[in-house]
Amino acid sequence: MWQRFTLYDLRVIGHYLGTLIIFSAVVMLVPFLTAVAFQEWEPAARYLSAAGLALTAGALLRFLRIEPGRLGRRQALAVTGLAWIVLAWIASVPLYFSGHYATYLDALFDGVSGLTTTGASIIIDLDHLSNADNMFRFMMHLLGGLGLIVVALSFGLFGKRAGASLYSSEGRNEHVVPNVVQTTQFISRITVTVVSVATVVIAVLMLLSGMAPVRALLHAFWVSISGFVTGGFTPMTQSIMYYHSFPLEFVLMVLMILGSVSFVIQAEAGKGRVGAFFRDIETRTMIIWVAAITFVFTLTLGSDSLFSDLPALLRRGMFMIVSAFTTTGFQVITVNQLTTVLTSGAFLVIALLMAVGGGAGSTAGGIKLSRVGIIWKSIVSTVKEALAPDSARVVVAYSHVGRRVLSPEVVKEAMTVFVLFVSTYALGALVGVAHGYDATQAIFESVAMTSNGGLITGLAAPGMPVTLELFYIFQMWAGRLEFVTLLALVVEMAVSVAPRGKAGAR
Amino acid sequence: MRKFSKNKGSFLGLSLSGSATVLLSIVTFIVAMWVLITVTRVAIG
Repeated sequence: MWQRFTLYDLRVIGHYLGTLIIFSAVVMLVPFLTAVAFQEWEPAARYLSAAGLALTAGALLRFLRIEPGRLGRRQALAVTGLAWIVLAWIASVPLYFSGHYATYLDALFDGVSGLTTTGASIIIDLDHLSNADNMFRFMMHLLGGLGLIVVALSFGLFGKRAGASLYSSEGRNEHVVPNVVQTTQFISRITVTVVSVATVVIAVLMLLSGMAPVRALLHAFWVSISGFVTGGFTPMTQSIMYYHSFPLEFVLMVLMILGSVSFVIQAEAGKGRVGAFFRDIETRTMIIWVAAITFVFTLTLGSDSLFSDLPALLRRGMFMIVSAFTTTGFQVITVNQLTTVLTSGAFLVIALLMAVGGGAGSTAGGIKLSRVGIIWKSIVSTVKEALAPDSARVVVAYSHVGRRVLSPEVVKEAMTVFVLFVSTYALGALVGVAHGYDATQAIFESVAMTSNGGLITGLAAPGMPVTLELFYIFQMWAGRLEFVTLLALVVEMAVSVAPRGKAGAR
Repeated sequence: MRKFSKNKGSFLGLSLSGSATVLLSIVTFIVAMWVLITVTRVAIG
């Protein structure tokens, strides 16, 4: 029988949601201070108003009184699922009033894209956006990349008991250390370290290429965040191509791959257990998968006269491969080149890379390498069982933070999420086709949205059909939360509003 | 968190040798991909 939300459940959900909304107001102070520093008074007023709006809404919700420290699994799922939508809505308010969006829905699309680290943007005249608005876009990336709940927990906003339920509802169920708060603090600390180091390195590269010091520092900070959280937003329309710097592209490739490696494996290496890093099922799946796909990518492009020269393959091709499999979405070729210069085979390869994505427990999206590895192990196990005598008990093991035996529960979880991802990729492609778009582009765009990959071919653009835009927003949201939280929330809400007799009969 | 901060030769609680190995592995991975692309491209003419 499905369980309904009680009035008390709603109070608990509202209370915790209020805490997160207040936290989002604090985040808005960063673009506000940026605006003040650069004397951008109009954005300063906008972000102050938006922070006020968030503070008011959050404080009102916090009036809902609850017993402290009590947060059940169902309530946690609802808080997380709703937080991603409510915070995107709040984020879209200052963005919309910037005047850089054709419609309000476009601003919401960018809000969801920023928070889910999809990185697809349908902003108008990005090159002339204020520093404050840009800072806010990358703060959304940072917040969403690490996870709204992870960041909130690392600041100790919720108690330990509430934290455990919340943490596992955000598509992050791996713990670096047993304590949830310490795990989130570790994730935040490693991010601050990597982003700081990358900012300095990239700023130096930008200074050497002739950019003004303050601008170089800001751009370096922004692309460092975007690269490490595998987001994809950039401060310029031409994406990374704008900088025309091979060393910069190389640093970003390292940063993107680092961002797509699970924090758990990074922690193992941080403890000095380097062997665990190389034995891990994710590392091995990544090496085999990316090597195989690079081989096919080179073969398909080699057969075409337009993009087959070796320097282009090594610089542009390799960057696109890394940008796709880490689900970042940085581009070093234009959208037009993506659809007209690349062969359809290379186009498909990039879509497949985004579809699979990076490591579980990292900031990357997609199905995740660990699930693909586990499904492969399951196939091996099935074949072994078919060949083994009846009396034999087949045991298949894999390495992921220690040796683990493949269990039916692990396989079931991997298979379920795999099927949900693939179904959503297909469904999104059908929605695109139904709007009259080319099938290949519709498939590519659908994969880019669901996997939070963010490489786009032009379907997602200002003035796109509202129904398609709403579906893409749903895909980004569902893909980031890996479906289970979303489905649980939708079912709970449906059951709660259904007449009591019918719900009870199930 | 205790274990991270007690490491000798650590930077912000992270083992320098472990972190350096991960970074070096990623750089090697990128270089290996370049070699693969070059070999494949040259092989197909």
